Amino acid sequence: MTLLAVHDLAVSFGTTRVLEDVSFGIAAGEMLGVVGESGSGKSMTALAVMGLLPLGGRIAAGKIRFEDADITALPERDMAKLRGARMAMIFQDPTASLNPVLTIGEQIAEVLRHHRGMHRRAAWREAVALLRLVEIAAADRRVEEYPHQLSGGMRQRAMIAIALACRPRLLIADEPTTALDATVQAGILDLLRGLQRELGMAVLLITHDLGVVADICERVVVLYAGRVAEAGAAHAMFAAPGHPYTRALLASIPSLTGPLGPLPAIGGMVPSPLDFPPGCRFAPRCTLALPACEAAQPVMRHLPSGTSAACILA
Amino acid sequence: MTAPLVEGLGLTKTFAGGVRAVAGVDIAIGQGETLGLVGESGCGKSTLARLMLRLVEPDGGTLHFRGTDITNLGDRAMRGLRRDMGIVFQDPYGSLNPRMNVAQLLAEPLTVHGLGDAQGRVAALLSLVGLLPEHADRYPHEFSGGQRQRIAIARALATQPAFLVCDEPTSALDVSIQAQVLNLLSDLQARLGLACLFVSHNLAAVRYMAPRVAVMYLGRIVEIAPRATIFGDAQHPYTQALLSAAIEPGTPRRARIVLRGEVPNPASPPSGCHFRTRCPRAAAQCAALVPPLFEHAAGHRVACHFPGALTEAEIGATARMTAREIAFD
Repeated sequence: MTLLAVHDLAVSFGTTRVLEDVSFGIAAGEMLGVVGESGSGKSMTALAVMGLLPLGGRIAAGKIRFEDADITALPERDMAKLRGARMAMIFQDPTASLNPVLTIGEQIAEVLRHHRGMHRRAAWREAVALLRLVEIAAADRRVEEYPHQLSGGMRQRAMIAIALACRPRLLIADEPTTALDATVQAGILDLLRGLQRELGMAVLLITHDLGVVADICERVVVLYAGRVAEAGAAHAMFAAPGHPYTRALLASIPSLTGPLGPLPAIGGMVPSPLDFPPGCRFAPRCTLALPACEAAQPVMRHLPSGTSAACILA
Repeated sequence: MTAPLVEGLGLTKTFAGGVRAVAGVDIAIGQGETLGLVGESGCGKSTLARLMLRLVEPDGGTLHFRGTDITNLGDRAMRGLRRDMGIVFQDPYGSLNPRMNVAQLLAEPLTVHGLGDAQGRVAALLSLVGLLPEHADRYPHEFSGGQRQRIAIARALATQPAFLVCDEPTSALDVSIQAQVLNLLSDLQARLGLACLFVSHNLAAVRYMAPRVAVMYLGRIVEIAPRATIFGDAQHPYTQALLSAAIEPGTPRRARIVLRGEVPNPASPPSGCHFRTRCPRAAAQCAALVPPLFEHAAGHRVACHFPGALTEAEIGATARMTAREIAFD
């Protein structure tokens, strides 16, 4: 069953379109990675789904369906009921997302009392259980601590506990491990995967890190300059990337095992939304580009390798 | 290795609050050599890098540059030496003065050191880092992150230093830009014969840049070896844990060595081996004695009482250790 379906989504700030024709779906209990560099529109995609676009941003076209209901133009009051209860979000920087003057327990209990109408004492007990769920040791002691008393990895676990308080069907995780050390990151990724399986929760993982996606996602959407470049099963994409951008991006990452020597870098830089090129947006940086690439936007096509790519040469 | 260009012996730095960021580190970098320094946040790698430039004053140990003890060199003499040292920081947004254009940014170090025709060198510096002459009149905000890092590199190289510290130079950059900057640094290092300390938390970037790699944990170097050894035959349990946590697209993740607990407070580190509280192999000896950085093989030094590859059983035990205490109802 499709839990979340995004159809031809476009997001604008004034007359500038930062996101265009973005479509993807997430099945219940599935882990989908949306990957891209800065300016690709990956965070805007997440915020649009949550109804949290920054001031001045609006959904200019397309539809977002969640649990079989159209939520594209849901009034803020209804959206607020959905958020936290049916879908929840965690961000890159847990320090900025947590309230520094409330204990971890108070912050989890607040959600439980607001969305699930729990009483103070029951909410507190549930807060301890949630901290255990996210594998925080000595949860009954930690629940009384303030965010500054926790390490970065612990804070992100506490954020996940808050997000899980109402057992959402969809968790949106925006760069959840980018600010963390590698050994801590591995623990958080294991936790997310475990929770997704255990609770049957769908996860939309937003990241710039293809390694993270390869590690835990079943399907991947690659965004470039506000459009989908490639989408498909993770194993297919990493085995045989179809879009020249995906290929170039994977090749440019330094490896722990591959040959040494100059890295095949991608020339140029990601274009700004103010001057997205006409035609294929990757064409100016693409080593394979033909004149036809700059003439028209390429459409998504299924490839024999199992993914779909927006490239006339793929 | 030829005679070291920069050599620190017993370098120690304690900050306010008793935080011992660097605890007695011996480190040497040869002329034209790149040494990689990896570790996680708080391990002291950035402090060690700054100690080696005397941007942070050590409170123990000595620092030699070109064979001369510069630990207590006066300000004036130190200033003369600075033209031989450069540093590139992580954040190309914070490290360039927004009120200066590129020509001014690049000329400033030359003017400060009285190195003649500053304006004339600007064009050469721009082309050195792959920027165009017309970029000279622009201001930092007009550039992308990758281009700014090129400007920061040009500025660090303006006085033709012999020693360059790169502190997480690509961590703030996009993936597709990271490769450009790594290629540039690697090319410049070889072309100019720079001695380079490449500090990063990114193991793959360090592997790419540095033929010799040091691993740091809580103020100490725990392992140092040629690149192939660190990535193929690591002996210290911490190095192995770090490698097991690195993920790479298209490569199945190795069996992960889960570290119990957290990095201890550097103001009150554990006795003996700093890593023992999280080490799957820790024994009584590890609490009693600080393991010396001994020579395990030629060019390969390890600070561990029980070095060697962790067995499957030991790795498996680390995973069970953190298994969920209580299931969700």
